[in-house]
Amino acid sequence: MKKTLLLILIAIFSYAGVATTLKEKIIENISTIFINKKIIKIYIADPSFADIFKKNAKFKKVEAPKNADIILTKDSSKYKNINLSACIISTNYRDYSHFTDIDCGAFFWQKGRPNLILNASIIKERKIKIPKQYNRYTE
Amino acid sequence: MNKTILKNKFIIIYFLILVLLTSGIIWLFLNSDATLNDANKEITKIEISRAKDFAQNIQMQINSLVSKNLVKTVEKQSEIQKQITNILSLFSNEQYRYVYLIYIDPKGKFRYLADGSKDLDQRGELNQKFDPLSPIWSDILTQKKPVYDTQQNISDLWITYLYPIKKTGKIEAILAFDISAKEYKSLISVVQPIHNFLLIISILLVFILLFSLFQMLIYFRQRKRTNIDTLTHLYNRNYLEEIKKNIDLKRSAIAIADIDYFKKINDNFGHDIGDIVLETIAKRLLGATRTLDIIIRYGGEEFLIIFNQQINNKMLKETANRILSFISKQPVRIKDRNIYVTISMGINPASSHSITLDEAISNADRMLYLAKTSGRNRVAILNEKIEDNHILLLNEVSNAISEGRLKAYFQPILDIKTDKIVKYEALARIIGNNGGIFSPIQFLPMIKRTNVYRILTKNMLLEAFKIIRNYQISVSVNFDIGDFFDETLFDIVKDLINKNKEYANLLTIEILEDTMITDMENFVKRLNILKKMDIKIAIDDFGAGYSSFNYIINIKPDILKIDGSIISRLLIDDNAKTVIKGITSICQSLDIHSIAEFVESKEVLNILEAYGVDMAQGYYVGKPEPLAEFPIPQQLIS
Repeated sequence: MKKTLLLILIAIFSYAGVATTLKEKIIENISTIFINKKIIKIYIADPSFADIFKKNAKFKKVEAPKNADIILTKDSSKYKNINLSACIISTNYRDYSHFTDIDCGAFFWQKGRPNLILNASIIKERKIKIPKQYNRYTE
Repeated sequence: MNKTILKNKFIIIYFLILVLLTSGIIWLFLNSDATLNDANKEITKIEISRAKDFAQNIQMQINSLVSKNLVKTVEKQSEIQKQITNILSLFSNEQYRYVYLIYIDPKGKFRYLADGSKDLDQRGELNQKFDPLSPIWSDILTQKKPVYDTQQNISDLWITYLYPIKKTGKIEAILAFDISAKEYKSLISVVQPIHNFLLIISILLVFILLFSLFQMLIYFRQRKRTNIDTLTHLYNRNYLEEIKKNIDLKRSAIAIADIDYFKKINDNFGHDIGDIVLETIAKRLLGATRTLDIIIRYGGEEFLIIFNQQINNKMLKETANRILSFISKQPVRIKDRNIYVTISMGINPASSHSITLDEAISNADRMLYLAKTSGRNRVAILNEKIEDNHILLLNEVSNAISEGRLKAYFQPILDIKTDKIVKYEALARIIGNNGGIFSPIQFLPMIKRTNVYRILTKNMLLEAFKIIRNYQISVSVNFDIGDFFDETLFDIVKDLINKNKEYANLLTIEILEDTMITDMENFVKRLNILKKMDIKIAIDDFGAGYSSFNYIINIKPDILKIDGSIISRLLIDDNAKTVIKGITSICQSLDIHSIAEFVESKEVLNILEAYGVDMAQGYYVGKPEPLAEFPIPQQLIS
């Protein structure tokens, strides 16, 4: 009986965490394309992504963008004139479309669907080799 | 009806009702699920039909704006793009959440051409890449006709409907409608509580059903334990109590089987071996009976068998004898030791008129007595038409004595040398109400150690002295070992001998060895009291039962009666001859008179004479007769 109850609870919590897990997984995948480090430092400026990487040993949340390897933001303008080595991922298409010169890519939710864009010019500039399965997201 | 059977029936009915209830609720749940699916299909169909109408309308309006090269025209003319967006926006509402136009670029990527979504954050920009999740986006390209998909992965969306905008058979763009799940959810919200309720009830009932099944199994297992004898694994008397009301005595014969000399097995080999013997006999009984027969361990070494088939007495006897033979044909082998075991069986057949089971068991028990007293390892079946196997009860014997129906029969004993009758053995008989004659084995076992028995013994002694007094001839009367330890009876006997002391030397007491003498010292002490009163002592049935040469030494009898079973084998068995010769020789050496019982022919008599046996008794010499037919010896008349 105890085992059954435990399984039901696991199933409920698993379902509740699906969206967060998906977001986290995609960001993790994008980050590992651009950053080749054992522990990746991430600065999350978009509050809608605040719930990710709470228990992920590979990612460490930082309080300042200058310490970060990855920046998640929906307002890339803040980082336009700062000399940062961090990789900026925009969480808004309109924002990304205006800052393709600094944004490594975009990941956002539209019409209930996740959308991913990898910036081909930055990939080329940083001489990053991306896995084949990500080619369809590159432009 | 028996309470336990009633309880069992109630449990089974309760369980069946629970099964029916659970099945019904599960059926309702599955049916509600099917109804929900049907309703879902119907409203999906309606919604698709509506979306198709909208799509056709939009296509007509786009066609009126752009006659050819839709994608290029929209890319180049922002005004056209704006107008198309407005058209799409007109159809976008709470139900049709997102209405948008997608084209496929030369690299095969899906991109926005126009988007009429009201929420600007959700609106795709011209040429913005669109990542489809559903396979219908590739399906429409191959099928070139409208397709739809019900969304599983996108929250708040129910259906995505795609409509191809074609020009000369080629898809230029795809018109997409994302339909809100609100309407679907409102439908579900009506049906779902009932559906959930039925699901919860179904789960609860399944749990209750499983729990009840578990409890029922425990109950029946417990009941089985209560009804099964732990040693033999046969049913016990609890089970008999449960089924007794259901036994049809018109169809079922009731038998009681008892292991012969089981006490001796326990005494000689110990109770552990006794238990093994019981287990083995139980297994053999099971092996020798049919599965529809019921065997119950009724007492220590007693088994009650219910033969559940109406068969005649002859077949019943054959069946019972087959069981006896099956049990006795092989010894019980325990630790390199063979123990030969037999059983006796008394049967109340289905044809008897027993009203209750207790009555049938009582009849079977009486028949068992008969089988035991007739020599064991045999079957006795109650036959109400034949009085021979009828056992008289205590009150019947008591009535017979008070009504003067107790008669003394006298069987003559011949002096072989002189060819003269020299003694008589007094034998008790009871005349039945309808004139039938009952022999001692039919009434003595039922009255032993009772006052009726003492009265009977006293009467027999009085009859014996009457003959002695009248004819001056020796008469013997049978006593069993237990009689010597019955103080009251012993006093009666002493008193009677005292009153007839001038004839005491003509009275012989024959000691029947049907039980073992456990207190020899006390027995001999009492025997000597009687011997001093001048009576003669004979050991009856020597060579059978519990008799041994040790008895000759301790009792010092005047007469030894050689058992009839040895005499009857005289003509066919050389060993019997040797035994008779040996006993006769011992008698001669110890100055004991010998009497051969069961002498039924002249030939036997001649052999006995040759062996030196003193006296003979049996049908050849004379049958037991009542006083009226008493064959008075010639020498007494003269």
